[in-house]
Amino acid sequence: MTSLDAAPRTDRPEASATPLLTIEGLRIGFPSLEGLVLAANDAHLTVGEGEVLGLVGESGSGKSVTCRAIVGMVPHPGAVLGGRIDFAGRNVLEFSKAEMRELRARQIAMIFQDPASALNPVFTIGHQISEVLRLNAGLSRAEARNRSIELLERVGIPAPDRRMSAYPHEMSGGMRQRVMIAMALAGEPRLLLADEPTTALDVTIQDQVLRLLEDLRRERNMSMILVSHDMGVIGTAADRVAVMYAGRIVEVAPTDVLFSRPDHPYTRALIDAMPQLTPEDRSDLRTIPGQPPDLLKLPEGCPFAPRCPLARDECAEVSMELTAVSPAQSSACPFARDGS
Amino acid sequence: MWGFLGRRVLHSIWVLAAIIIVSFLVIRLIPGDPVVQMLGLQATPENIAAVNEDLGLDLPMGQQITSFVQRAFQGDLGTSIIKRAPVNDIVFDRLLPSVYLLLYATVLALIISVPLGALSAIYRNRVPDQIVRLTSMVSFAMPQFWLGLMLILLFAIQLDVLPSGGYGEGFGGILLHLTLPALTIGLYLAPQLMRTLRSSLIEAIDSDYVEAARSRGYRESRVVGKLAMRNALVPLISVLSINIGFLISGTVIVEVVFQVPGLGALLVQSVLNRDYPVIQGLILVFGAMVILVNILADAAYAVVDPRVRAGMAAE
Repeated sequence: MTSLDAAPRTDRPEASATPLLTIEGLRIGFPSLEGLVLAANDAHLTVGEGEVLGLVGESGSGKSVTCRAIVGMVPHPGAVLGGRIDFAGRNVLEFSKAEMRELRARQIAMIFQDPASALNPVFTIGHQISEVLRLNAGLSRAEARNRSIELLERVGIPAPDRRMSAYPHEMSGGMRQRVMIAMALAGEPRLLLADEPTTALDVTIQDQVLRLLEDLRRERNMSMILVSHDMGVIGTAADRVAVMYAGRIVEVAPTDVLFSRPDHPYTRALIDAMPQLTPEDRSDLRTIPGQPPDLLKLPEGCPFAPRCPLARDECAEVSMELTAVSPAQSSACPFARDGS
Repeated sequence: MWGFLGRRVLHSIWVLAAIIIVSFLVIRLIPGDPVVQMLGLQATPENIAAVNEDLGLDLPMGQQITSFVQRAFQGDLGTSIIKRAPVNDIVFDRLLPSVYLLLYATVLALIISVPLGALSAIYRNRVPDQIVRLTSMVSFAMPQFWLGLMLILLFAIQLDVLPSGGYGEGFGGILLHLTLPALTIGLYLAPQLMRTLRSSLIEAIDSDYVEAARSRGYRESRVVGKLAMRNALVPLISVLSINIGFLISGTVIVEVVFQVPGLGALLVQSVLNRDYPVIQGLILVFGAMVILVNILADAAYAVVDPRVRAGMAAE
């Protein structure tokens, strides 16, 4: 174990290719009456060109906030306290307001959990897509209209020229999310931040939207961070997965490795908690014991220890640094492979 | 939408009919007699009876109502008992000053409240917001007659830049003379509009679509000034239309302070004289104006919010 603990940072597998996005030691804090809450605590992530990184964890684990920090949109009163976020070689945390607007307009796009509320209810969808194209790509009104119709067609909206004059409330949830995706594509982004993009949708629609995102990623070589609490979604759509717990990344692995050989006890618990539809297992819905952690009262060392089946006294001294388990997989738990 | 508004106009005929009948009865329940007012205390009972007969006030109540309603729907509101002139002319002469005053006051209130409401919402709970909220509270709490007198003192007497009241000639003259009364009403109306806009704009600024617009790299001025503002307008329209409804008959004090020859002043005078036909005509005009303002507000909702339009089409 000691040899793994001592492994140098550069051995982290995700650092091998030249990544588009590298997050290092990111700390995001929210002041509260009882003290500072760390929504992200020394978080490390990389996303390669054209790669889909799944970011998974329970509600409140810090995955959404981490995602928002990339485009400078940590909600008030939160703030980035430390670390760096390098996008295409530049630390975005040092960007001016104008540079950040430029980054959002042309480099990084975002789609949201609830497309019903993320679309402006009082403007037609045609107006909203054209607006992105006119403001961010400098197209004329007529060009923007034609391009909008193309984008709507590309995301699978039937009769797109007629749908241009529809309002968001006249569309279904799946259609609205397609419109959101079309708007995200309008700026030809290199990175798409998808924050729970399918959570508010029916299961059949979820599948269609995930397929659409996968197709678009391939055709544009677009990178993507897919935030979800749903292991099923992550398993279908992500190339590589980062598991987050109480503001920390506890495990990073390629998707197939993560599902077949999960290392961190929290990852294992998440996978065990996935509902099985096999006849013998139908009634047995396994859950993770205990409560999601209170971010104000985290234990020393590993925050998962109070709920962990492998917990021991030494957990209080764990550094929570990711160490390589296998060439592509790293985990923050030094004890997971002991006697299990 | 047009069908919906058309139906609203048709409904309003029933509302007007109800206003006519109720006001007709209520006025006659007030103690006091117009003929006694007109002839003075020395009038003999024979004189009074003669004038009553002359004016048709001796006819049975039912007959009086029927003939009034019939003539009202033909556009004739009768003849003033005191002034001996057609009510139509009397009311119409006074209508425009009141309408101009109200429009002017509304425009001023909007000019004051929209930027301040937006400022408050953008800087919520910070110093600019605190200042705006405190000032608006003070402005709202000041009695209108006092505020009016203070404005006269400052602008008409001390600075001598604006007339203290009355009514001018031509567009420029009217504008000049109505500035102080309109400002008095505007300063009363603006705080309510400002607070409404502040809260609805804050709600819009906190919404997901504003967050999404920011994530596209739009300028904050566009995000708040256009995308959030459009959504925040609906509550503003509600509060504005309700207030205009009140102000149509509630500008009395301001009209008296500034000697504006408007409907409010006429109403006070007519009630004191028990001039039934004029009171009747005024109530009808006030009612019609309130209904009109509400219909306009409905139309404005429909213009601003497509979901309202959809609701109107479905009705």
